[in-house]
Amino acid sequence: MTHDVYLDWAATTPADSELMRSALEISLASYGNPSSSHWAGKQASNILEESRQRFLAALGMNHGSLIFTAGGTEADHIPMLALLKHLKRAASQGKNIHIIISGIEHAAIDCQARMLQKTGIEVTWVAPDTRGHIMPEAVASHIRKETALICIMAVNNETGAIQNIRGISTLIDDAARTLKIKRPWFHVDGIQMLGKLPVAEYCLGADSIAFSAHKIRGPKGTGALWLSRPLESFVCGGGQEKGMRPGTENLFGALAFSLAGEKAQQMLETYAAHAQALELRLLEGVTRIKGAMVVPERKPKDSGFVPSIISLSFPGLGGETMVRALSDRGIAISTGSACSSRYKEKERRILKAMGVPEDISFSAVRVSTGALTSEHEIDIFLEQAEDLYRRLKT
Amino acid sequence: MRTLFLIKPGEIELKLGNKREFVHRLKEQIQKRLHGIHFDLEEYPGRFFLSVEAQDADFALFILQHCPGVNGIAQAIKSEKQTERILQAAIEIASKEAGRGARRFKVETRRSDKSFPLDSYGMSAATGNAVTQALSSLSVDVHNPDFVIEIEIRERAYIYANTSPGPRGLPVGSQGKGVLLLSGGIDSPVAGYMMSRRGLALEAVYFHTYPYTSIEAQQKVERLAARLAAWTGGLYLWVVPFTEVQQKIAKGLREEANTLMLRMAMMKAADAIASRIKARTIVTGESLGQVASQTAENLRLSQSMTSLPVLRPLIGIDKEETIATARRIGTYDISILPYEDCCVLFSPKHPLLKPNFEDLRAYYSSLELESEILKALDKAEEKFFSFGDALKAYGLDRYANFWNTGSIRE
Repeated sequence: MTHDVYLDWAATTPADSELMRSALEISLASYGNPSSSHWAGKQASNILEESRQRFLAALGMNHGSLIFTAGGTEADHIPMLALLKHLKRAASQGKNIHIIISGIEHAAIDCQARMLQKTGIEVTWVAPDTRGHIMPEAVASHIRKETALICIMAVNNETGAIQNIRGISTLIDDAARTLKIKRPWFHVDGIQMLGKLPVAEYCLGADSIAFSAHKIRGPKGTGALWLSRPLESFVCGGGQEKGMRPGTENLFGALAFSLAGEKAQQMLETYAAHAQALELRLLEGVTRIKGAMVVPERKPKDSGFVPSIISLSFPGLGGETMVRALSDRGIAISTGSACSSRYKEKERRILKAMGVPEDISFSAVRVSTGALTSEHEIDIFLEQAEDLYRRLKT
Repeated sequence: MRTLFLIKPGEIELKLGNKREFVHRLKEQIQKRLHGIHFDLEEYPGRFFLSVEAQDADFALFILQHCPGVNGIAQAIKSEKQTERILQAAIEIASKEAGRGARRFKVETRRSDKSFPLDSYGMSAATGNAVTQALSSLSVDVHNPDFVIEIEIRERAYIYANTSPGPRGLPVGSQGKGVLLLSGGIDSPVAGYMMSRRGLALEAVYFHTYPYTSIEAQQKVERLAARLAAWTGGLYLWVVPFTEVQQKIAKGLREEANTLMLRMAMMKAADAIASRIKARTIVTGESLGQVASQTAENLRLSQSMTSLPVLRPLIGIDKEETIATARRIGTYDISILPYEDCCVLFSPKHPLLKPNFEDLRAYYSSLELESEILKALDKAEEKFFSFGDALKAYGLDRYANFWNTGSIRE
């Protein structure tokens, strides 16, 4: 390995060691079970509640509640699985349950929706436009009387496309009024938005929003679900987290997440400016590599995309091959979601949904940056990618 | 305590002139695989008898079930040739079966020692009587038995039930050596298994095209090789770095011929390896018409790169049957792991189905791949998968350490 370049921040981030250490020390000292009624339990439960308030403040949310989960995927699943308890009643009334998700959701939502399908729940996938954006009108057009849940992600994990959550929410309201139905639950996967954009402002109108700690330099295995109002969870147990996420609380995780969230909020503008500078450097650099392209096309500071997640394509060279060859030279990027790399989706689902031709999507890679990324790393990536592309292109 | 296995050799019994040689091969194969435990292997006409410590019985059974040339295996009781002793052993066996819930049985006797007082029929009848008297839950049913008590009266008497099948076929090595083209797919491990049952000793070749294919793809082939080693009794895997050959082919002007050219180059390399290791044949997992490169015309082209016979045991086998075999021999679950092999990435959008033979031979020559192929062969890595690796691959780690050392090529 010749270099030490990490450009896969959308997969995960290096945890903030200072914050992690302080969270660890506090949680070691407060070892009680937050549900216990004795002094040790109270000590722990106080820290847990402080963490909750800290995180809500960081989000800028002045209403609703927050529950801590064991990760982003679990946070996504809680509102989805909540539908299961309605199955029997719906069946007895001869009704279906219908959900709408976008065609570009993370596997956490997409795969779980396919699982719900097996229980008889109907699923509609809303296709994005060619730039990877979900049109609010397209979502609204699929709403019908049976629609119980709508899941749209805030920021796409492969392209960085920012979705119009507020616009979608408004049209959900309108559709529900027209159809004279209860407004479908609107769940937003906010995992890639946290730390990059002001969540409260962008996600106005959502009923629930999922977050993951390790995307913002917090610990892995910790997530959170913000809820506008309580939800009867399908997953039952000891009643922790207001009955919505049973299991003894992970005090270290919750505290560390809240500290990382607070810092991300404080640094929001600084990080955004940093990400834009890196984006500019990357986008300019790519134009100098013959044959390489940005997927979808975008300009620096394009308001439709977060600057820190960029998909590129090197036609004629498989994305997997590029990732492998760069890795040999000490450069970490990915072909898309790390989760999908494991799940081994046969095709590039998200790019395909956008109508990206197969030879371009097959050759696509994702570059994502973060707080510690330097311009030098971008330069090394560009230089090495260009060299490998020239050598390995077939 | 020792456990005795009665081993029935199969097809080699039908050989006439060179039967001795086949028997010797089989004995040698069994001995080689049993290396590391205490055993006695006795050979008699039409039978082998293997005696091992009771604690090694599972392991010995595994060995025998994977040793081509073995038709059937049964755990047997050896007894003096006295009727009473034989009946006692039969009752012992029957009582075990009854304990497992069996109700009906029959008895079959083979008497090669004609001096024994009872004839085959008489011995069977006596045994049936003795067993039903001793064990009231059992009755004789010659048409639909739950188990068969078999009695062989020869040098000694042997009594057993439940013969389990061996792989059948011919002992490994009795038909010389072959080079197996092994990819990570479903077919080629099955082809290797089938030919090892026909007595071929195999060495496998894998063409690695890093970074176009991943390290995981190679590891997958290594895992397949380890499993195949159970049947072949150890397996060499040649990992040939083929990236430069592939790149040179890709630089050619006829994209539609890429896959064909690659297969021709692979056959050329396999031919070179065959001559180095003195192999007489090349084995592939090709099945007629399964993919574009496996049409008769395309097979002719790859065949033309070698003067050795290319054996394709799957040529007329339906994919479902191949999958069933792959499942049975334990390679399927590895083969379906999602690591692409080079052919997948490299395949043209519109491959040639009916190429012009002369035209493509000429195109192959014009690519001038010889020096790249030679370089690839020079850089090839030879990895040995011992019988111990095979045992590990099948979860029999307890015995795997016996085979830690590499093997010397035959």
